[in-house]
Amino acid sequence: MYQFLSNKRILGYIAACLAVLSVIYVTSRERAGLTRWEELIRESMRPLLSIISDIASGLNRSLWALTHIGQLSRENVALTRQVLELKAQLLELAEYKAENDRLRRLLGFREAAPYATVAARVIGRDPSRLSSTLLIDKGQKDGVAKDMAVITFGGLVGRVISVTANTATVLPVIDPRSAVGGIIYRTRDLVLVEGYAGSPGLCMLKPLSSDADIVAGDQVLSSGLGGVFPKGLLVGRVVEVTKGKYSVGKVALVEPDVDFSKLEEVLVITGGSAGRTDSSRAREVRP
Amino acid sequence: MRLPGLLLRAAVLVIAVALESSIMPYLAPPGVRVDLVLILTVLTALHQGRPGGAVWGFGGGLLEDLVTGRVVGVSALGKMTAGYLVGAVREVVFRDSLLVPVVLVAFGGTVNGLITLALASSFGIMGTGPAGFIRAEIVSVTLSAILTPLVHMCPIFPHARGVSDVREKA
Repeated sequence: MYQFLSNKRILGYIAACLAVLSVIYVTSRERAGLTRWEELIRESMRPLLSIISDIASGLNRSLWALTHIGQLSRENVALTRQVLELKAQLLELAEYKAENDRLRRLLGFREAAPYATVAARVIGRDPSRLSSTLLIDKGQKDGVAKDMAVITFGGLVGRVISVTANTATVLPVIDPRSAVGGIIYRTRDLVLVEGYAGSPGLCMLKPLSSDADIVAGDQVLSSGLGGVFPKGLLVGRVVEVTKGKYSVGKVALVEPDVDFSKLEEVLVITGGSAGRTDSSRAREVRP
Repeated sequence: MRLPGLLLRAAVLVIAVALESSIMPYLAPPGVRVDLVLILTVLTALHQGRPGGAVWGFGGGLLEDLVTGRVVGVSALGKMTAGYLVGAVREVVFRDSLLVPVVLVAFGGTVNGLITLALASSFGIMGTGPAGFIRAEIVSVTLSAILTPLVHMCPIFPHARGVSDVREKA
């Protein structure tokens, strides 16, 4: 026994064991925090652990992918299909949202408008580019008749040129066959607004008097003369003023506020005006 | 041992601890692991005898405890004892065979496991039931023993000298 205990190595081992046991006792209790040495060692190992853990994680993912390749392939097909379906749904929802926005604006305009109107949806356009007529889904059954004015929240769209029981064809103001009696809001000069073939999407403004005062930016409203279009509907804004034929008088180009290429819903005016003034209409129509 | 060799083994030990605490959770079920520190301790004990085994076991175990956030000293004591005993055993049973390290890792792992179980039970730090711990330890020790030849072939472990060489030196 004495010989055993006199072995320095064994004594050293026993001493080390006792020291470690005391450390275990201390560290197994609830402590306020780690010691500085513990923190130092753990912090110094952190970068290495982080790197190895990243590599391990990557390898693990790759290994998992390799062993589950069949399942992943099936899932991929299913998810791709799902993504496509969701994209389609998303597009549909966006479509509904845009439609909702437009209809809300139209409804607001309709409620503010002093006319009896019928809301219609644009269901067709002339694809030949020969004319810019629009086909709407309301016709005689809905009270739509020839030569009724068609408007939207942006202003005047055009007039009905033909009608069936459930559809109607609208001739927009930008069509060269169209002519609308107008008035310059600022100066009260009477003008004629015609569709202009030379620049699709714009109208040609011709003043009825040679000394009419027209400048770019002027608002053009319908004059109500002629009996087709009610008075005070916004037709567009003057974008360019030039000299007339043979340098006599002046003509101007008018850009309608209505975007005809994106027009989807319109209102057909089926009843008479409540007698609003041009200025009040212009303020309302002005975006 | 010369300083470069010492540093190299220290680096290997650090990497082993890092691998154990970062990769093993991905590769094995909870509690099961290849105990790289134990393998290194046993191989060092085979190469250097009791002092080397005890010191490397203590150092590796302590590092393991500190890095993994266990109660400090449990692995240190278990591995130090395992290294010390393997160092003592190799002076008696060493044979120039690849199976010897395998058997000694199994032996060292068992010693380490029993000490860990005893300490954990005594200090009330068992994270699982004893049966679950023992099952996981048996699997871990078996895995470690199986993989020992791979680590043993590593150049940092020159083949341990035979008993005769040790005796000659003694």
